[in-house]
Amino acid sequence: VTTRPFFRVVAMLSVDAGRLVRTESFTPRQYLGDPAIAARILSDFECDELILSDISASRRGTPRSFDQRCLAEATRCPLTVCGAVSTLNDVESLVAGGAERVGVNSLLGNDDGLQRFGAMVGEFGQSTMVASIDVRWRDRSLVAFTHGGTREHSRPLAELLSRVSELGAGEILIHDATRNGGRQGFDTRLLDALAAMTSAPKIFCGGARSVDDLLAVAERPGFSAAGAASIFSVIGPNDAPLIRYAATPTRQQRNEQRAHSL
Amino acid sequence: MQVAMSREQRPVIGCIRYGTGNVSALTLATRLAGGTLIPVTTVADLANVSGCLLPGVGAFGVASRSLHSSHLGEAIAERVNSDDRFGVFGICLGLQLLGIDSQEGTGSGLGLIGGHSVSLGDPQPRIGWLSAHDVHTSKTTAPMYFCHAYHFVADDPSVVTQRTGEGHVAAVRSANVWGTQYHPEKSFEPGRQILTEFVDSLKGSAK
Repeated sequence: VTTRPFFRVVAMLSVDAGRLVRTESFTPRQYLGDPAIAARILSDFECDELILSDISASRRGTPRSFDQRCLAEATRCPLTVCGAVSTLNDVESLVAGGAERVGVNSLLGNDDGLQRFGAMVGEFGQSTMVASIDVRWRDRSLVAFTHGGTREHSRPLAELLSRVSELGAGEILIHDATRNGGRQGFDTRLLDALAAMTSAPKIFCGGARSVDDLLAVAERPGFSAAGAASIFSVIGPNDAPLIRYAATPTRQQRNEQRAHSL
Repeated sequence: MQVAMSREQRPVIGCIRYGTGNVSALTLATRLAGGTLIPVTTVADLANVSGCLLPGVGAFGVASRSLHSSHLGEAIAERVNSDDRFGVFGICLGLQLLGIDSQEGTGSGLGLIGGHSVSLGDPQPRIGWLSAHDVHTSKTTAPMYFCHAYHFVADDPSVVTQRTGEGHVAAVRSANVWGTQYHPEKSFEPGRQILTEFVDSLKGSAK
């Protein structure tokens, strides 16, 4: 009998000032439509998990821009919500809105914020809180960023990863800021480096070309999920908007496959 | 006691508020399962419902303190024990709150099911889709969504109805007390089935 949850294929939605967008290197490149409708479609496809991020709120210092209607549609499936989460009240209201997990990025930018993240874990439980960290290569080393990849962290990446684990992050969501939206495939050197830095459960995203790219991450130790946005939101040579959960095997199929391989 | 039903004969179920809980997901899931969910924040609110949900998402100590300071904890236990038509369904943390206590924090649960919650240990926490099996039929369930760092250990194994592959409790049932470690409200159709059974159990008791 299988005992571990299987690897999750995560659909990611980025919301910029209330509009669903596709990003490249964390910069909005294409307007895709209404995030509530996209969330509805992905939950109709019964996706493993949805990560809904407001990418504009913390950078512009504005409130989160997705509304209750969007959350209400997204709440049909396992849901992690990110975007300018800085207080216990933010977490409480997002959980009440239907998210069972909340991701924190900008708050991790300084020591005071890290402490507050620890307090969120104490209040809402380890399995509720996700630490979201953006990474880029500089020369041959990896650098951690917050604020949607715009602000460099003062700590080395390895130290930040172990700090958020100590504070009780249930999972660490890692964005490859360089390959975000590029669809050239995952940076396997980056995956190797991350696996060497921490054994904490990680969700990786940034650069997927296909669902196979996502599923291949399952073979590596320490990754519990991989996410993608573009392959689930545009199609064809002209990047026509089409929300879908492209060719992901059903959980029942994956369950049976795994049972056979044991 | 009168069984609370809305006009369309949908059992009215209380969502117990303890400062956390994914209420809007549960409201929708309850509607799809044939019931109507309303918030319960005070002991007086309990008079208006024919059953209640203890929602998941949160930490044991914080939820326990809130349940006791609002006196909802003892009121629910009293209602469940005195009225066998009144059902309670605990989800995830809510299941753990049905027990005595938890390693996750200080404070006590409702004591409706004998048992204690302990850390899953390494690797923790467990997040994602996993099949359980029915302890009576050995049949494997469809994959359900789990999101937890602690698990419930029942004193009396006969209340356990489903277990995961490593033997952890996935679901319990003891008369009118129900609980799942997984989130039925996040598990699509298979989750809706168990919520529908719960809602139907309240309906069946309507006179």
